[in-house]
Amino acid sequence: MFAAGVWVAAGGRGSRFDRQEELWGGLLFAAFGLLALYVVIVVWGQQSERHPRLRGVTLSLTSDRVRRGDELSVVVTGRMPDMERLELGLICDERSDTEVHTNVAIVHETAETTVLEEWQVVPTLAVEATCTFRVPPASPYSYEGDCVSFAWRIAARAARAGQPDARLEEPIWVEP
Amino acid sequence: MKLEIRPDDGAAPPGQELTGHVHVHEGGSSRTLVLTLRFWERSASFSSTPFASGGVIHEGDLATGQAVDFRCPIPAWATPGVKGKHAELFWELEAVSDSPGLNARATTVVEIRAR
Repeated sequence: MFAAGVWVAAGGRGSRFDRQEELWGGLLFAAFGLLALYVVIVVWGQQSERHPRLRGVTLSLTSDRVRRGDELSVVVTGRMPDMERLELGLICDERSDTEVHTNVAIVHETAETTVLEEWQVVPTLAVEATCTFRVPPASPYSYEGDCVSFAWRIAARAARAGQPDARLEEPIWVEP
Repeated sequence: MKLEIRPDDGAAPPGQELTGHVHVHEGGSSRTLVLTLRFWERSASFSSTPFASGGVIHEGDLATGQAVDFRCPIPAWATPGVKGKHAELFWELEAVSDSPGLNARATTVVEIRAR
C-alpha cells in the first residue's frame, strides 16, 4: 500500500489524471499503508513478549481451593532437556478498570498488576519435587467483580539458554 | 447538621448483625435518617457497589446529642475488605439525613471478620 501510494503520488499513473488529486490520494493511500505496518509491528511485538508453554512438565496441586493463611503443596513432575533452572511460583494478579489519558482521548483500560509473587527454586536434577507455599493471611482473596478482580495462580517457569522463559500455569481459588 | 456513625464493635462477623448508633453532633430539621450498608469495589478511576442494603432508622427532626440506634444485618457471604496495589474492596456504612436543603451525611468503613 505504501509503495503504491508513493508511486501514485509521484505521478506514476501518467498525465491523464489530475495532478493534485493523484498527489493527495497517493499520500493518503501511503499513510494507510504505514498505519497497517505499524499495527502489524505492535501486534507481533505483543505476541513475541508472551512466554512459550513449558512442555514436558506437569503441575499437581493438593487442592485448587485454599484459604488465606493455609499452605498449598505443589508437585512438579518432569524435566526439559535444555532447562537450566526451574522455579515454582505463587502469584496474585490484580485487574482493575482505569482511565488512561492520551493526547487525543480518555481511554478505558483494564490494568493488570502483580500484587504478590513468591518463587521457589526446584532442584534441577529432581524428576519430581514438591514445593509448599503459604498464602499470606492478609493478602487479597480470589474475586471477580465489576471493576476490580484478584486472580491467583501457580506457575512453573524454566530458564533456558538463549530463549525466553517457558511457563506453565494453573489457576487456583483463594477463599477469604 | 453533623452526624457520626459509631459501631459497637470494630469488626462484624458475616451473617450476624452490626449494632451501633448514629450520633448527632449538631441537630436540625430532618425528614428521615437512612442507614445503608454497601460493599464497594474501587479502582484508581472507577468504583462499583455490587451490594447495598439499608432503610430508615429514624423519622423526624434530630436533636443535638441524640443517639439513634441501629441494627444492620451483615450478609452471610460477606467477605473482608482487602487492598491491592491500585484497587480495594471494602464495606461502608452511610447515614444520610434527608433534610430541607443539603442532606447531612456520614460514612464509616466497616471491617468484616473472615469466616
